[in-house]
Amino acid sequence: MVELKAIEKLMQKFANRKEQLQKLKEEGRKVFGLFCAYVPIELILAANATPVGLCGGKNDTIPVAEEDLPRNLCPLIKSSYGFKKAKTCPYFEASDIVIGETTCEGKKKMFELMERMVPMHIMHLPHMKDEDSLKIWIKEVEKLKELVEKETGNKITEEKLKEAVDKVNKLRELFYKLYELRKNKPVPIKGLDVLKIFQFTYLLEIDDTIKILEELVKELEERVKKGEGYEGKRILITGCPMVAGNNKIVELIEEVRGVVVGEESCTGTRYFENFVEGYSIEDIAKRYFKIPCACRFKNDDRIENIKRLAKELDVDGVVYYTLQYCHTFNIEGAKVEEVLKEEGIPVIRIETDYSESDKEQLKTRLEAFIEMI
Amino acid sequence: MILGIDVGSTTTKMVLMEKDKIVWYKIEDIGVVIDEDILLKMVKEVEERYPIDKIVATGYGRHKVSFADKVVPEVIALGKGARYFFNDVDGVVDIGGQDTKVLKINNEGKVLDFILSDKCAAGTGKFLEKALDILKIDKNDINKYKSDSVAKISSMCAVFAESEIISLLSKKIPKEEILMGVYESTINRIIPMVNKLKIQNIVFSGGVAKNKVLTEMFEKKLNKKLLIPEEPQIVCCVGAIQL
Repeated sequence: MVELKAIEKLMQKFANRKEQLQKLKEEGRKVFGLFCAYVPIELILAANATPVGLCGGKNDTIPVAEEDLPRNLCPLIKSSYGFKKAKTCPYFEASDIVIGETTCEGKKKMFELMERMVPMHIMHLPHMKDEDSLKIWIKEVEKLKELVEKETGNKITEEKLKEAVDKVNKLRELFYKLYELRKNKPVPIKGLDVLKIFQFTYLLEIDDTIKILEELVKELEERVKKGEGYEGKRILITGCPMVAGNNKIVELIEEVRGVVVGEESCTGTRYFENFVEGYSIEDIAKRYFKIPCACRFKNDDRIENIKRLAKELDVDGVVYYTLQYCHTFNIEGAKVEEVLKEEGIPVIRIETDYSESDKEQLKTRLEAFIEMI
Repeated sequence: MILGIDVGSTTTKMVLMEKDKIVWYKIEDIGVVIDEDILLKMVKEVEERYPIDKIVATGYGRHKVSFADKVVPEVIALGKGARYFFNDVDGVVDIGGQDTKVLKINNEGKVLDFILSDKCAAGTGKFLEKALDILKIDKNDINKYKSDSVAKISSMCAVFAESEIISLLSKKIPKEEILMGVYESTINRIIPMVNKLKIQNIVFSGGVAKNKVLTEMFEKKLNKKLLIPEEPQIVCCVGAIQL
């Protein structure tokens, strides 16, 4: 099938992003480096600044990170730290300040070391989901607002905030549309293309992403009308994020006649699900508080989400993906597996890192799984 | 007749079948590093004696057999092969060179669920081979080494287990006791996999199933008999032909 024009544009935008950021910075724009889907980008956009995602997805920077960090630590954390230490990530280097949050133990403690290399602000994300915790989180979002205003020198007015909320909601709406289109059989877009969209959404200007997604939706609607698309066993991926540089599992699944139709991950539904309903700081905080990351205690809404997605997208099987040493997602996998088995949905657990060494073994496993379902 | 070729990580297996009967088989001590030329030569030798209608490839190096008419994943083949050798089975444990596979299968040999040991070598044939190397025990003599006392090897990691074995040797612990410890640690890795899939009537396949001492210990720990074909190394290959 021919390459989607919107994906070509996405790649182009990505290729030019470094220069674009440089130019924006020369014009006085502040850049905020972010580590997680929990940081409300509305506040950054409302202050006329640019948010960029910093999570590392490459193996190259892990050895330098291991000079300071333990070997048995999640590759995403090591890769990210390594990028800063080696100064090889243009997004990191462009960031005036980095926002971290207290998600998992590994990240939290890594930030203490990273703070020595770059200015950082850490948001306290409570791990419980009760009302008292929500209050803490609202306060944290308020603090972020103050920080952003101070850093940029721009006041976040009601009007500006409304504009930003509407814009990010618009982006979310487009992602919902994309997911709606993926319910079609054959599915009009490959999983690998969607993964790239999520990865680059973290990196590009939001206006550019919105334009690309609008075009993409149109193109996909055309494909659906014509009945064009990808056949194969329909797979839902759930688990750890697959940030830029880390496409291994999706590539493998699609090599062995599977097609990824959904991803319950931070490079997937956790990025866009739930709109910000209202224009206050509290409304914004509430939306982000709901993100069902495994670092939270009693994260049962994630399991419900997986069940729902598996049904809505009519998947043949679920690939539960964990990065090595990611305890939270790994442990939560036991519950997810249990529930999916009760529902009669086949599931395979895959644990891997950023290296290429296990590619053949993983292929064997995924091939057998896809053949089995 | 159908020729099955199973290119494993450490050995290559060839089986020739006419309908449901095994006509001929061969196990070569070379695995995934095998050259396609050698494979072709081996096939030619078979062809000189028997008519081959179709070639099926499986195993870790299955994609090396570019001349195969059909390529099947080994996990799927293994389930089918286990069912070929035995009736009333619902599970398979296969200790291969590269990994250990535990399968739950239905009455037709279709795989319902499976677990593969992770990318670490503990609990695999490679780990056992490595241990034999350190203990300087010939692979063909393993069944001679047996002991009632079992040395404790606590490390789950093959690399650390290696240094543990060396330290046991330096403490003058008898080789057979250490070897029993190695078996125990291997089995202890596999039992949770068996429990997780809740399988009862289990076919034990792969080269390690030829190890009588290990098998006996395994059966004792599982508290049941394992079903082992006369030649446990060709189960996967036979299954590939049957698919």
